[in-house]
Amino acid sequence: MSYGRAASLLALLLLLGGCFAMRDRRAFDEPLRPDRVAAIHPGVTTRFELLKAFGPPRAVARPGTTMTFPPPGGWRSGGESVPSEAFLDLFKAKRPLRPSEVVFYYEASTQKETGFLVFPLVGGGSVTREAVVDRLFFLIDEGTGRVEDVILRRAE
Amino acid sequence: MSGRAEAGRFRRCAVLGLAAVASLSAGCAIVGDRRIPVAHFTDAQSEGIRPGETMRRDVLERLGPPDGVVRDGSPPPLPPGGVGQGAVAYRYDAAECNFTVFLLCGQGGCIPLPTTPVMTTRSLWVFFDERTGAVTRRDVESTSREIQMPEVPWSGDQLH
Repeated sequence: MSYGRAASLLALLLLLGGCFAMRDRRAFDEPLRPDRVAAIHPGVTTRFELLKAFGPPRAVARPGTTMTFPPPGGWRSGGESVPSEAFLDLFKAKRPLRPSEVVFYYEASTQKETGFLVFPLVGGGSVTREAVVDRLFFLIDEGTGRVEDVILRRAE
Repeated sequence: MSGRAEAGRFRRCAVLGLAAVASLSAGCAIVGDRRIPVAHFTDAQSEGIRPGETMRRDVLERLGPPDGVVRDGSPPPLPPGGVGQGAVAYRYDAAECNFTVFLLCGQGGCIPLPTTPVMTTRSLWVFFDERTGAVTRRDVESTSREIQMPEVPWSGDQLH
């Protein structure tokens, strides 16, 4: 092997010696398990059964009100104010809603981290952290006490 | 001196120079840090909303519930240009914080020297005709501002 080729190989080995990529996930909330969501049957499951399975909702959307709930991902304090209409419209797009219908809102956020770093020579790299939020909406008729519809929006 | 000998000396100098640069910069790193706390829409989703074609139901199916609902006379935040009579506007938010960290590492650990973080917030406004539910227009509003390190999303998470 020539002197130049050996030197190039050594330089390459030194440069790549400290390279690594990373991928990590950190859950801020208990995940919304698909089997639990699948066990909710519109028209059959009661509000009591829903609360037993998922616990108290993050927010309840009632007509004409504004909801305040913590922002997802635990990245800042304070509350997020969202008009209830925003959540009710999700179901209203399918059919007209009865005045007794409300929306129970659940979410599960995760911090996704991806990046790469090059060490120990001229180091460099990039790291991205992203809040990934799964959102679950239940339409409940407070008159009958039953779940009427379910919408699950997975972030990925 | 022959040409071959001169070339050999040049190669040796180049290798030594490379080794000197490498040893001087060993332990230093420049790392770009990007944090995305809110991403309720993407550029592709925004561009997929076509005035006159897309309906309110399509927007809700694609993007989910909005972060804000605004009508004529609603309190701020309002879209640029306001909302006309008989119209309703949905607001979807996205935010991204970027900064660079210069890491000076030695045997005793690393000293991070971050640049000033810049927070870019974007709002997608989608306007509908309240009667028909058809999209009449869409706007993306973007603002960037420098913030302090404690305001950075997940500011407790450091690289080292």
